[in-house]
Amino acid sequence: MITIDSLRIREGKRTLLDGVTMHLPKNAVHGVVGEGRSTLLRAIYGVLQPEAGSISEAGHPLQHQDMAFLEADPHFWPGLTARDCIGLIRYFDHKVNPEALIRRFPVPLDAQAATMSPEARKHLGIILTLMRGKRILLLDDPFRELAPERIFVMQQLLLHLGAEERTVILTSNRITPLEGVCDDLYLLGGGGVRARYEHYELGQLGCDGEPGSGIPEN
Amino acid sequence: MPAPNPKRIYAGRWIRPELLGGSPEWTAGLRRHAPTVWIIAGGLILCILLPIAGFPGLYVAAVAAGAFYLDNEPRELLQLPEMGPCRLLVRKVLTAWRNYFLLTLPFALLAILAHPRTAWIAAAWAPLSALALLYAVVAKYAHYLPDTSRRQPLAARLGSAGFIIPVLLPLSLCLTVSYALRAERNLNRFLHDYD
Repeated sequence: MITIDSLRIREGKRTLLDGVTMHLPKNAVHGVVGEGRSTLLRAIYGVLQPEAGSISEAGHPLQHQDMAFLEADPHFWPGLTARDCIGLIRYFDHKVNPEALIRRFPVPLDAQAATMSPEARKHLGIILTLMRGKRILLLDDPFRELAPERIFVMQQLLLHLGAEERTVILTSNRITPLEGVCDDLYLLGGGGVRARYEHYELGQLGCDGEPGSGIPEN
Repeated sequence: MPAPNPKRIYAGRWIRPELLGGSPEWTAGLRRHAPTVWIIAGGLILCILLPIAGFPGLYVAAVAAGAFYLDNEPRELLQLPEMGPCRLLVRKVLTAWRNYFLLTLPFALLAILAHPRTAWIAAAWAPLSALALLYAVVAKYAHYLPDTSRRQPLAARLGSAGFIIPVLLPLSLCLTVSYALRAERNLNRFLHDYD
């Protein structure tokens, strides 16, 4: 169980999150929508230091070696091709095999990763994040930039990951792609958690607009 | 979001992270500056034809290779080896030495074969080149911030110049020690839970 307890994140004078508390069971897919979702993922990954509160798993801080983080807009170091990026991961972990992921999310392997189209960069980001076999996956807007057929592939993959004893925390700006994928969904707003829904409640929300608009507080 | 202008890089299979000890710096550097690397290789061959210029030319190439360590990689690349700060620094330095000496070995052998009487200069070339690369690595990580293009402070630039201007060499040696300690502390912010 990943426990987020009274988390407060500030950036300068702005309070991005305040009093966020969540209990995220292991081996499940958790969705997060609403304002501050990317901040929450970055805090879980340790990129942002909380001013107050804690993020822990069974009483211990989360370890980087257990986590992989997919940014909403993945960016890469200039000078490296997509093949280099994959090769670097394989250099440090010979067991990983990205072939299946490359088939599902095609990328031009010999193009410079930093200057590829946003869709190709997203594909490469997904490949690099998922191929490492980490136990906790933090996916920031994984459906953004994806073509409709790839969104379906991603949903299937997420279902598979949830059944594979991995804990997935993903964000989205829309609820529709999360239906049938997430075990539960948190709605953030005003710096805190506004509502939590179980997977069977998602279909009833019937909302595809901006998160928070017209979604009843739970 | 529009795609940034595609900038052409050499995408050939001769440059692979697997062949370069898993070093993103050398992979990206050789790809981005492939024409410059060829020009330097041509220049080194010309230097080898001259009796004294071979090993000094190779030493200047080591100082130039320090430019591969000017840009800061994204945090994900830094964390990829999953090592603590000390182990990562040691690994980076050893990889830099490995790549440099492997790439310059043919030139060094040619220089020795062409002018055997100047082979003693290799005894100065090897440690000085290793020191220049060590400085480049620790200076980078002493000021590391993820994903930024480093603008070196004046002291660091003087330290780099010390490997070309002998008067400044003592400063470079002092800075190497200072930056090594600072690099360990700086990287600890990003890699503390890998120990």
